[in-house]
Amino acid sequence: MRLFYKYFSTLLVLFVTCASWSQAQNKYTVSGFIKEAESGENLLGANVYIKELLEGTTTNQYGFFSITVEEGQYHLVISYLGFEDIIEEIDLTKNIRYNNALAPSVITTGEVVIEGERSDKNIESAQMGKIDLDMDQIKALPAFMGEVDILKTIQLLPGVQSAGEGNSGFYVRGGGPDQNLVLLDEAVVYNVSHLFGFFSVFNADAIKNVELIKGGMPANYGGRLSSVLDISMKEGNRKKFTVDGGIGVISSRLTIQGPIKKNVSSFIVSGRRTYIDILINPFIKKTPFAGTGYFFYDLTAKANYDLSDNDRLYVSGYFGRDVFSYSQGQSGFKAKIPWGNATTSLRWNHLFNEKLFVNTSLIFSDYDFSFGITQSEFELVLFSGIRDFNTKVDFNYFPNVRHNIKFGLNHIYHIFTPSSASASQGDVDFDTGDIVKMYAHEAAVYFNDEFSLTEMIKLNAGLRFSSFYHVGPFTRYTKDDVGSTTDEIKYKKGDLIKMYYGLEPRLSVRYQLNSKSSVKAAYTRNNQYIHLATLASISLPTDVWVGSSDKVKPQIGDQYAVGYFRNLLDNRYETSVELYYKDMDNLIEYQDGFIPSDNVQDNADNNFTTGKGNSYGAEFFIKKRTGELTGWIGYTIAKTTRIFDDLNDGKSFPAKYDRTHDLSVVATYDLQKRDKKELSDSLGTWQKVSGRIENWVRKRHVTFGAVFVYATGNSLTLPVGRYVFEGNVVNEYGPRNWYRMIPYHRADISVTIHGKEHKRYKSSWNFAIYNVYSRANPYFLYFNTDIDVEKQTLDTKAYQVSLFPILPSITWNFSF
Amino acid sequence: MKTHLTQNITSIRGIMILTIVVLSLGLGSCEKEITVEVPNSEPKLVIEGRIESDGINETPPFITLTKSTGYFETTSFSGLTDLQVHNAVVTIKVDNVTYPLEELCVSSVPPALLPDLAEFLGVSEETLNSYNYCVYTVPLTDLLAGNFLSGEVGKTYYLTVVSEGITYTSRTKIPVLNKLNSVWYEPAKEDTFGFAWANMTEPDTTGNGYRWYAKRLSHTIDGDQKDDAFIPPAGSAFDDKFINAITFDFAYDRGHPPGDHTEEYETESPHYFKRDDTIAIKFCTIDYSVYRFLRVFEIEISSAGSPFASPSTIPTNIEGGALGLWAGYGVTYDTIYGVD
Repeated sequence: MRLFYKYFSTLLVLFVTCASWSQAQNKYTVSGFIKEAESGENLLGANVYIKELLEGTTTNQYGFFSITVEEGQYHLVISYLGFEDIIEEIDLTKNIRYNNALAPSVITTGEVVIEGERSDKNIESAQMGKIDLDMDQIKALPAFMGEVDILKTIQLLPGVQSAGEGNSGFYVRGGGPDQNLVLLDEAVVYNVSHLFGFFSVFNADAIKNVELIKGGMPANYGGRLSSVLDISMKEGNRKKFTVDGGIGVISSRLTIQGPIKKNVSSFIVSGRRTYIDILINPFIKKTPFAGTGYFFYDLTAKANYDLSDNDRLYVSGYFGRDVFSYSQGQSGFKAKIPWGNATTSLRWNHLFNEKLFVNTSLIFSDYDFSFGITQSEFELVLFSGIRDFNTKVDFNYFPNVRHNIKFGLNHIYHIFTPSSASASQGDVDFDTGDIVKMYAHEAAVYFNDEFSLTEMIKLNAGLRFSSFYHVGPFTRYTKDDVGSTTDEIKYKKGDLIKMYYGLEPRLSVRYQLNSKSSVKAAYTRNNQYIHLATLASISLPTDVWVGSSDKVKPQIGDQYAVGYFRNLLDNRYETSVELYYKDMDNLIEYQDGFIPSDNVQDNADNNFTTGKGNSYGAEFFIKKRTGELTGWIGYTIAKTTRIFDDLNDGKSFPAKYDRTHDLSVVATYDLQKRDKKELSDSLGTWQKVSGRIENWVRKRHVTFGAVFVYATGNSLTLPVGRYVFEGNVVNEYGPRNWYRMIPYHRADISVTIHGKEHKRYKSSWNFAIYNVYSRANPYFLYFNTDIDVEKQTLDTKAYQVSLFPILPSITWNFSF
Repeated sequence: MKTHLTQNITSIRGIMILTIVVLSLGLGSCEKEITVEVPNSEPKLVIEGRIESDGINETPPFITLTKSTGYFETTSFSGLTDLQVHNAVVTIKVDNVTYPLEELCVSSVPPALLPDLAEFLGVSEETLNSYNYCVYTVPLTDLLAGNFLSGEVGKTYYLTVVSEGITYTSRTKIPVLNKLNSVWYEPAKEDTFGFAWANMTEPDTTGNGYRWYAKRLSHTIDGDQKDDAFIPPAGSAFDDKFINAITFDFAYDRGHPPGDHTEEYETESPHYFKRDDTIAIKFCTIDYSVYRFLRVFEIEISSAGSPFASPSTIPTNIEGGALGLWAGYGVTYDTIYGVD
């Protein structure tokens, strides 16, 4: 830890140096919070700039901005897509506190272009590989079984791959699922999906903003190699009480929010539960499987309070559970498998002065999986999980308009339970070993500055120093060849077992070619001290988290990226091409032939083998941001490989989520309620189709959504040969991941019909069709060997199982 | 330690996936036959060898040599005999004495040895007689003279096979016997069907492996003995990780010979013993590498073809590039007599 403080003091010196930059004379600051007018919630990522200078900033995560410029008279412009701009004359002869709220624009069709507006954020920012997703657009897209899912939308972005049919798991630029830092109000969410991946754990009703960083990760984020998915929960309407909800095919949702004290404090509570178990019950009641069922639910809650003009307090929490039960009447075998996440975040925003903003967070994250089975008198309980206690202090300092400085520190106390078991037969307890938990401290300090060097060149430069301390109590089992424990080293509480640390430089540079285009380049190094050990071909809740130890070194990733960004037609279209190369070291896999249920009285990391990976690719992206028709096309061509000394004879093999081609086409067409004239102008061909449709559409607000995806098939290891042992036919497997399934492609469509707006309530119907042309995409392959006794032959055939054919769904949403 | 249970634990991921499939079946999931282009792989030598000691009866070691085949090749049973590898040089060394083995085909095996051979091959004597199956074992003259190499508890046996110019080696130890304290039948479903139970004391040494076999000695109404050979049920091999140095009860359900498609299998209770069955139990000690092989082998055959079981290469104890196992067994026998 001493090293850690040494680096922290260096950082403070840096900060003092920076602070002295701002001592120039006759400069004043305009700063404040920007909110949404309707709900009173903070608006993050809004553009705030000085029209005369074309210089400015964007609001931070809490809606705060600060601009320091020479004394003078200016126009302050605040803009955000989908909201009416605010242009305010300011007389900057002293520091000004300016709080305001943006109202939604009435019509989203007409692009509001302010003369002399700076080129758009994606061109201007030095940040690479960052994408903000609009919740309204996510909700307008066709959703699987009517469940709006932010993770499935993220999979439609270039460089992000889905794990498979209907799966919420995502892989970014060749990285594993454990390499994504998924944050919900700053709390790490370890398991992002329900029902083995089909649904994400995030209830879209409670989410305000989603931001994905897939490359050029700024120094304020760390601990993962591949990406950051930063999800902010809604804060709760500060003006009035509202209730939103939805009734869908498999689940229902309800969200209640409102002021606790008007304009000072508010809350939001949102819940969701599936009823698959209730629907299935009648069908299996009389079968031997009676008692088998599955459901999930999640609950989010958040409250905030303005302590003063300079202090705000937020408390938020998430709790979700999947519960799977299995019963086999004949053998008396019963299993109950609950798993899920719980998080709590307590955050305090404080403004030291108009230039220095600080957020202090206390965060708790927990993921646990338990697996209990009984048969006759035999009982076995297996459990695994991870629990974090996280403290963060993040400063945001705006010395002048050219700098946006972030620095801070972070400490996480991890408790890993890689896998433990208890078993008994009647009165006899079986020796399943001590519960070998792992305790560790992870600490980091960082400094990051986004600053304009010249008009043309902007840098986002940062440095993160991270460290990891595996501490006792801990028992290290040393095993011999026959799996017997030859040695046990017992560490006492607080003993330092192993320490790792590293510097993580982060740099991205933007060179602006003109107001419409720029080129960017980035290099980032990331250290990751925790690992996810996966056995199956898809990620399942049985996967366990482990920390780095004397056996497992931290994962290290280096990523290089260059990109060309260009906006077209008054920023209505954004286009980009990004190339990346990523190297990853110290990746883990289970050793060949490892059996998870044998993992008792042992350290999980005794069964790992380590290797390297790399990934490179090109991503093409074109997005239409405004108008009735919005959407994007993303295409990625990439190659991802792994090489492990102990696997596949030490030869390189394709990663299981290696996708050569990945294409997504996403479109929404939003027909707002219009008056007659406007409608006949814009409908065009629609009008010709039928006067009745026109009439009908005119009265309503209708949104159409469509998605098409195409991806190279998953790679997997299939047998290449077979042999006979003890009269059984046994598989002999070929090289790892040698086989490629056929390409995956699918189209979905949806229509959302917004009902008439009543004074007290409004409602909408969402009709979606998943897999419109009923493509039989492979979910898995299996083999069947037929033994024909008559002909005395053995015949093996391969079968492909596809999960979802064309699937319609319907959801009714309401709010009042 | 119930077999079903251990098997269920390892296949729980399979169960979860099965549930997904069952759930989605309601939504119309489908399956279709596809063609998988498998790259050509060189056939490998497969060694299946065992040497036993029960401290009373003397049985010779048996080794069969076959070749692996392409995955989708249609193989006929007679083809299986075609897969046999002949003219290999096979020797066993113990206590620094090397014993050469001879290839012996069914037609020339003394009838008295046929039951042992049938069990070793996992087929009925009847089936055995219909093919000219060959094994490597002690010379026929020694067999007939009743003076031949057989397993002894505590000894390590070194196997060498030279075939087509390649030398393969292995070794196995016959561990100290561990006789079950008691065996009995207990009903599990109504009164008629149940499991075979046993009580054992596990010694205070780690790394011990065990294997359980059962054979129903009772006869069907047609007068045939219900089982021709000792059958290992699923999950027959276990080690002492959970159970080191304790005395405990455990149960096994009834196993089936590979490819059992008999009428009996189709009946409602294929995994139970019946109340009036007389059951012979063969309980073996095995060394750790034999346990490892059998454990992965049993999981592999129970989940064969499932894409969710991670494909595992079965950890052979043979060096030189062959597949298979050279196994020593320390055997004890017990009998459960039917209640009626």
